[in-house]
Amino acid sequence: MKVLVAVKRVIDYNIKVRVKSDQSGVDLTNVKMAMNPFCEIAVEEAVRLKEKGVADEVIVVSIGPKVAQEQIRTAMALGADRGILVETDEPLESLAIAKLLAKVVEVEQPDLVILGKQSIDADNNQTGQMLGTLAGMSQGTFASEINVGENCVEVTREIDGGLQTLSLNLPAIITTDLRLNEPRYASLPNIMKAKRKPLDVKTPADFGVNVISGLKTLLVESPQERSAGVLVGSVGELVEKLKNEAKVI
Amino acid sequence: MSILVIAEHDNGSLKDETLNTVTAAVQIGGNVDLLLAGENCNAVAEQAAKISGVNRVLVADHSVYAHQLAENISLLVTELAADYSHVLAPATTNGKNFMPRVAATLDVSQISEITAVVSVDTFKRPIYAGNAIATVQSMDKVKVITVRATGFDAAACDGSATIESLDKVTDAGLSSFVKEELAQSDRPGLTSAKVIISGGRGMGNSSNFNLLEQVADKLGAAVGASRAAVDAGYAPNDMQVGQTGKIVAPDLYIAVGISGAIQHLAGMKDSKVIVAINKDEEAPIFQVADFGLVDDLFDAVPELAHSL
Amino acid sequence: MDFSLNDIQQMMQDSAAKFIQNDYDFETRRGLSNSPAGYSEDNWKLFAELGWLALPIKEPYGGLDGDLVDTMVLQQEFGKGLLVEPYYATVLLGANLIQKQANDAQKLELLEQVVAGELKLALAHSEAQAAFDVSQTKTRAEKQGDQYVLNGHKAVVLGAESADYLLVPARTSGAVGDAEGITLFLIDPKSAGVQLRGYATNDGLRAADVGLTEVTVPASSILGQADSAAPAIELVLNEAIVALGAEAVGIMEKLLAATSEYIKTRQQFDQPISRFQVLQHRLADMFMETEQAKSMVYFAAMEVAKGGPEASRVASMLKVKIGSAGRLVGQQAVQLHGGMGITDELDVGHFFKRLTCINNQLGSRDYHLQSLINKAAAG
Repeated sequence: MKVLVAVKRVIDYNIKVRVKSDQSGVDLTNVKMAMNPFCEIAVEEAVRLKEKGVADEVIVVSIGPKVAQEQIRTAMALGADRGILVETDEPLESLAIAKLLAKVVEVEQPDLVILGKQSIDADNNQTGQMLGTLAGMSQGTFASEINVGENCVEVTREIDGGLQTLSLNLPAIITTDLRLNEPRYASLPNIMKAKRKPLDVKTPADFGVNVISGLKTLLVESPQERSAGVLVGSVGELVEKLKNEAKVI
Repeated sequence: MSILVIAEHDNGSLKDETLNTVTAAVQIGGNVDLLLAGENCNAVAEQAAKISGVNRVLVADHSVYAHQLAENISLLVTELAADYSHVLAPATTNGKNFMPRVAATLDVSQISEITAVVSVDTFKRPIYAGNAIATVQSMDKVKVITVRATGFDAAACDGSATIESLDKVTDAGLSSFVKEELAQSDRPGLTSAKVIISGGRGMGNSSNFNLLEQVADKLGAAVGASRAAVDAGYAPNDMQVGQTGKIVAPDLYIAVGISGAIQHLAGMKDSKVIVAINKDEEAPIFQVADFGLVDDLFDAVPELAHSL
Repeated sequence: MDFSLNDIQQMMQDSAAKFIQNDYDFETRRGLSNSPAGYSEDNWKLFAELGWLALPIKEPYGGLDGDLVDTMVLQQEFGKGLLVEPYYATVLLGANLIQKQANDAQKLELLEQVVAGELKLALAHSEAQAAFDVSQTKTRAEKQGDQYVLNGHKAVVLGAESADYLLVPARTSGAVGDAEGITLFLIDPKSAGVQLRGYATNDGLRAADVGLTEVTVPASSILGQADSAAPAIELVLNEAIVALGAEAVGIMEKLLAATSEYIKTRQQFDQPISRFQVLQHRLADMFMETEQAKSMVYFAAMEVAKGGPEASRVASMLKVKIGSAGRLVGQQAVQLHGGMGITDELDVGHFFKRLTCINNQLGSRDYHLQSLINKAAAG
């Protein structure tokens, strides 16, 4: 079967973000960028399916600026077979991304699409589900385990209070949670091979998708800082303060 | 203007997040209806009818909604959405699961996890794990919104809404329920508890979490864990508080042996009162704590349990 | 000059950085350093899988044909984790020397095993009087029929205890100080007459003093030609200086980041201490020294590989820079962290120890400064 993985280029998760002084957004100049951690888990899962003989081709797609090729190459170094970049310098909302991915799905006809559950920049947690509905597919979000069967895939999902297992008809969309797997490190031979793997570049116009968003970001500000409180000397003092000062117990 | 709120429940009882979501809807203004989709959920409908600010409770009771399958619920919500200016759901794993499908079908953007209502079309939401707060305006005809419960107070339960049943059955036939394993506990859930006591890597092993349970029993608290503790295998995944776990904001949050990684702070820094117990006085958790106690947790926690 | 890394180097850097970040935090490293072996065999297998052991080795021997810049990229990330695995000893010294000195059959046999992670090496080149200049080697090998008998003493041989083979330079002809007459032997450390006295070095690595008493080996254990090993050893040591320089730069970058973060959070007189101008000056000095050292490493990585006298001069220049920059950055990092800076619990002191040991490896700053002066005086 064919597996499509969507990946996003985001700020490296170790970087502490700073809001720009004009409050127009977050300062991304000279900041290290990387593949979204949840997307890395998606790539790893697809590659494992290939290694198990379940998948025979893993295609990775990203939507973003030209430099997002780096993340596609990284995915190919981890084991994806080929890449597609839908190049755009506009920052796109989830809906536009999902529409473009739906077009890629139409062309590629994958049996399984794996995405990260959310990107660590916008924290939207939308794209996979939107793609699911636009492509007419079932979905298994927040997956912590995947078992592919005949014409169906069983997905264990991390839900509030525990785990839920669903059976999805193929083709299906899966979004990854943190504990689905632990992504590998790209090996040098595979990094070198990745250089020679095919990478197609498209534009939103190629797909005739309208990427105008109904959302406008008016302002981005820093969250209110919590001020440090007081150190107490003993458990007794703590209990006294919680009872009489904070009045929470 | 009218607003549809989707209720969070387990067919047996209403989940508290629904109450916070109704508050967000009331703040936006207009007529608020509540959709309750489930199976054999009459008892929940009775509870829901008491939420102040709710006009009608629409009940879709059918086996296709029993397990909140996203494909089926989103079809139902999409059909109803035509009559509403806003559709709101709690940002639970359930709300996050079906709402983007609703938005995509309606060809509108979704505004995820709002923490404040600025006006009928403008909302605040955290981005970058809460390290920045964006104010976003929606120009879409229907505003599809998920609500972070901790951003809003719970609505009171002294209302009397009418209950209407819907006979719509939307079955996408794309997926089916296999099984569910839910943690059984007498304690309140993390996202609804008034008091939470959480343990970190400093707990040392899983059996030491008993120490926290002794305090939790005294305070009627929920027990949580940091990602470090979960990764180390001291506590199960669903106990994790943090950016990639549960976002909580109880009245009292007691962090025990937790250093205070940004990842964890993102999940609990909106708590009203934060207490940190850690033997490392340089631990960043003390920078957000209202009350800090620099002490060995294995001395302090039993003493705390004893003195409550 | 273009100093930007190519795609492959960039990805290799990401991959190594991620390994250090995820699997090599300070506590993990401390545990490995304190373990009996002093490093992790599992990590070594992982390095083999990731192709890191193959990086500087030529393709015919199963390698990836990487150059000194590639090595530099990897070493810089290793520095940030204070890597204890014997990568430097096995790959950068041992395998690199085999590659430059051994004959084809020997290369085929040995290097493929290194690449596969099945063979570890240690270069026993340094002696009490000869930390860097191999022409000063006093260890002698006497030819007796088809055999050679070695006698001598080697000091601070990194990775000797974990090595399957020692690469031992010994004088087979000429007098101490002659460039000619150095022969490289491949010796099993379990051979009769080889005594290893192992210890942990100040920076948490493992080394050993190696005594050679009437160690008898067949002529076939000579790597390459007899009497001819000095130039290859010199080139390998110059390249190793670049690798050490890159490691040092990784450490300095790490110290700079940690110190900058610390003074922004540490409060005194009701404000973060980073508000004090004197501390800002110190941080600026640390930054400048780190950047100068980095530029010097980049330059050396490109120049040293060319070999010849200029390679030696550039390597010496780099060693001088690394020595002084490492000292300043390490000292400032410790001082700006206050008393904590020297505690065993905090990583800062450990990074400084490694920088100090790097200064003493392959000839100290003073040694190389003198060597540069001598070269300049000789015209």
